[in-house]
Amino acid sequence: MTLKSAVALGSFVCLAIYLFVTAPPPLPSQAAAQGESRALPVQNLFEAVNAINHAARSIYTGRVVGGGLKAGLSYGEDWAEPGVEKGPLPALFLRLAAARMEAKPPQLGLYLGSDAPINASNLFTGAQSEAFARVKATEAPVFSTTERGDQVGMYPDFASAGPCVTCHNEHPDSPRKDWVLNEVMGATTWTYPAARLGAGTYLDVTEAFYDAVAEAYQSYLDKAAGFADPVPVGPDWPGEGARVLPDLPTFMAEVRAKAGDPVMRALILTNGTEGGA
Amino acid sequence: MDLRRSAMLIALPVMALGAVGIWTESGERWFAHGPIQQGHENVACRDCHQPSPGTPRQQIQAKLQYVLGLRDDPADFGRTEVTSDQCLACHQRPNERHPVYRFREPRFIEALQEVPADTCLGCHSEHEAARVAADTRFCATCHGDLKLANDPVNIPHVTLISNEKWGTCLGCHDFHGNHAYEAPTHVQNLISEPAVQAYFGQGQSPYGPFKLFEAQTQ
Repeated sequence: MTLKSAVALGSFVCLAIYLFVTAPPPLPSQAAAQGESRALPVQNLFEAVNAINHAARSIYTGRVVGGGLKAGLSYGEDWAEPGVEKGPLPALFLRLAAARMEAKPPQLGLYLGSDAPINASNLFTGAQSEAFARVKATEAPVFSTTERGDQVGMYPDFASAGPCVTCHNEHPDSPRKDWVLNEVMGATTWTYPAARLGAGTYLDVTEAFYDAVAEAYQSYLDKAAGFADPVPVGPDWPGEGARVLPDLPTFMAEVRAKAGDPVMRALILTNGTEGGA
Repeated sequence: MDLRRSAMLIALPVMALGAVGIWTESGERWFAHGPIQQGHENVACRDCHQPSPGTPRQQIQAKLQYVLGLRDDPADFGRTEVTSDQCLACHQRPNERHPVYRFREPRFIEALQEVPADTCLGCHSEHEAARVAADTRFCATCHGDLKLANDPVNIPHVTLISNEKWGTCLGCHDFHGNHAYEAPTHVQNLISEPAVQAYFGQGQSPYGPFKLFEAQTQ
């Protein structure tokens, strides 16, 4: 054996001893490093954020817009225009929350779409159109994976209140004028880049979506504070003879109370089995 | 002095310098592979290039295990990959006009082939002496069907679009919507495309110095 070979062999042996024989504990995997030994399917996350979205939307629609209309407040598409004294329509409130969510690190996406949307940019095409056909047929969520590997959860949006039907049937840009109550008008689509996630990430994402909803509602409060006759804000809800708006803590407490149970169930239960997965 | 000894005399200072570059903040600046953007002068290298978990030995070990198929996920050596998360830590704003993760929606899959807007780094490449690494006409990728109910501009948007005047968009609208800039209603008064191109380099903002939200400092 030449000197060069001996040196090379010795170096290799030393390296092997350094890396393997006297090796430190292995670097934890990314999931384990985040304390995520109990991984959840992404469907659980979609169930949770959809429950938060449903809670925020129904409370905003029923108690804020419904009560606000009785109190003489107005809501419209042009609510954000300068000088316009209105609040966002429920669908626009969702878009606000979605925009806030999509600017946050968790990479959770949310958007509304339909096969007959008022805004043409919300028209489902391609694979999304096919998924929506299944959502309409089954009236249940449909899960899929995009070409780039993102996870997609599509949930039906029902015409659950009379104003949904009236507004869409009367809107000049609506391609359909014959919507009926309880029909599937469109779908809320969620996207997330991983098929499974740990409990820590689950809590981070759901909390980020609560924050996004809060920021969307705060946008309306900021607008209402700038009206010629600013709308008083406090712990009360609007209604006949009560021209007020609930403050942010009041609104969010209601949303959390309504969404808390499904959010916790989706964290604890997997496929309906306690401690599953 | 023989060749081998000369090589060692050169190699040792280089290795020492390399170690300084890897392990000290001041040394890291020498090793940046290009200039940093305006406004990032006071950002430390480690604010974006964050230490990867584990000791160097564990990192090498994990990399070897990954290569040998004994580990599911790869490991970074030294520093983690820079992602949009580092950008959003300072630049997350409530008025964002184009939220970065909106572009993960399935409907944008084709558009992303043109403009990789689902990551900050798709347009903003650090160390390249440019604020924006894109041309000034990328709006065409998504806004070809834009129609405004009450168009305030003397030449309507629909006309500008049908004439493919995509170089005019950024003359009124900054992409992120964070400049305190009132869009003109006469096309003659819009910011010229060369001025926007200069801004995409390291030029001054043609939208004025005022921003609605300043970046957060870490």
